[in-house]
Amino acid sequence: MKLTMTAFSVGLGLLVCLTIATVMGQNPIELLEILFRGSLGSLSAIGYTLFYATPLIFTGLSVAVAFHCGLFNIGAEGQLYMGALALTCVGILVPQCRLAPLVGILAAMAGGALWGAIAGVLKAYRGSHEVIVTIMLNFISYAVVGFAILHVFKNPASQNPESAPLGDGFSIPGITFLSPLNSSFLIALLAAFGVWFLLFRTSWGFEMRLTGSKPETALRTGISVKRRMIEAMALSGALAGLVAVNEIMGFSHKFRDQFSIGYGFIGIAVALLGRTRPLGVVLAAILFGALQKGSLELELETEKVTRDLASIMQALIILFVASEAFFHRRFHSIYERWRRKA
Amino acid sequence: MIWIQEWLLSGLRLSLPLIFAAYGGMLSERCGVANIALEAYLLASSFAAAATMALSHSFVLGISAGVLASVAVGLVFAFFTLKAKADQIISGTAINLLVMGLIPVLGKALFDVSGQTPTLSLDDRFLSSGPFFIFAILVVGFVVFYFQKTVLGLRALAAGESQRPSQPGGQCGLGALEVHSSWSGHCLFGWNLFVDGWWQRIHQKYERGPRIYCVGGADFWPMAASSYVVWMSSLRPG
Repeated sequence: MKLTMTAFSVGLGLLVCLTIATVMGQNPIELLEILFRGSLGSLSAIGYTLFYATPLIFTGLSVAVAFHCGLFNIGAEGQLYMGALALTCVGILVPQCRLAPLVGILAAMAGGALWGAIAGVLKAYRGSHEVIVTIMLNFISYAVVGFAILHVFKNPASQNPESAPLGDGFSIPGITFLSPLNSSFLIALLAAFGVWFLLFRTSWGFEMRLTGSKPETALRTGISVKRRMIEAMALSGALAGLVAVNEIMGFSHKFRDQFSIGYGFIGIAVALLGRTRPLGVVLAAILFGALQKGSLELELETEKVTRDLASIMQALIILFVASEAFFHRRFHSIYERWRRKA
Repeated sequence: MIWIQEWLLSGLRLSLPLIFAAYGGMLSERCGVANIALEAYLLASSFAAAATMALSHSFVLGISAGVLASVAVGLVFAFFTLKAKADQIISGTAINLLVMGLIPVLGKALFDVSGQTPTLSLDDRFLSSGPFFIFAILVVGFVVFYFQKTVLGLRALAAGESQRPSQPGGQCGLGALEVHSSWSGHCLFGWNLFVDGWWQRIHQKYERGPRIYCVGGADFWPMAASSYVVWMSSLRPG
């Protein structure tokens, strides 16, 4: 049932988007064909789709974990930048590190976790609204990261706003598929499994979910609600920080300023579409990754529409999924009326 | 002394968009709607105003387009949050994403450049922000009047008050009235914000060049400011 409703919402979003494209003067059938060919048509297309899906799995899981604890993490964007900054610091200051990939992964997680925990602490002890706090922390992190990359770790050999390259050890093996797909995709799948296990198979996860759904009950049963909140935000930040592993250790080997194209915000959509379940998040991320890759192809192959169509489509899908109860009721009643007449 | 004067004046000038957006944030916060979509309102209004100015060279049309665009986005947001009962934060984020995607597509269709409008000619720009500032102050009086003296404003306040304690639990309170007044709050809110986008677009143009994204996140600050004010006032006894 849930799956039908999700498919219904996705279809509705796609339909509205195709209508917009048609108004813009683009043949919708051709557009769909380009989207499909661009995202799943060849081995390299699939590789790119999975490559784009990887950061979305991380941020989607990040939002989902916070959500299960009743917190809305809008700050995955800032957390992933702080994770990337931590990874860059370690990679540049200790270039000859032993077990470099592992240290890098841990650094990225720690950076994100610290940044997320700030919002958790403020929420737990000061009652500050986590949405406002995480949004504000996003802006702070943009500024901090911009300063660090452009003034402290600047690559002197390059005109681009990017850091110096990290030490040689800081890379993880690629999977290729004729694309930048790397083993951080496997880390993402592992993380999804880990989140599922933690949330749904341990008493810690149960306490966290109880804190989210019935805070009063959780308090009365003696669960430390404040600690669960902080832990949830820290875990959420750590997952967001892992995006840096894909981007830096798996792909560019340096911190390119503003590398994230809003992964943190699209992660909200991914978590929502995936019903905040780890498996759902993985599938939703792959769908959004496919949209991303397909729309890049649109940019090249059509004159009328640009890759921004992907952002429109994602937005519409979020809107329809968020309000699906309403639309489902509407269409159901229309269907019932039609059936009665027939 | 001249630099102090300059500094104060430029402070006032730069605070204008924040003032207008904060009004908007306050209006919707008071109705019990946490509005993340302010950014989208600003962007839509700026783009509509600038695009219409570039095409028609008429201030009246440009301003109206700014208003209408902002109100339209406000209504879309209101529809999804109030009528379809979507989560405010989620749909707000989605509306932001939607408008950020729509503008380049529309820009491409209208001017064949994605992401910006052609630079407005000097005749199409406002060179002084004086009138806007006076208007900003007038709006304070208007907002006070709206919330204290009009039925609509009082209902909006009541709706906001009744919603806030009910947020963790189920829906309570005023039902249809709530929806109604929140809707009207939204329209007002959009109307309020248009000035902002319009200002950004037409005034800022001659200083900063034709970047749409000059708004870049400007709205989150007023949102924080206004929610802070509302929360503080809700802590006050009585």
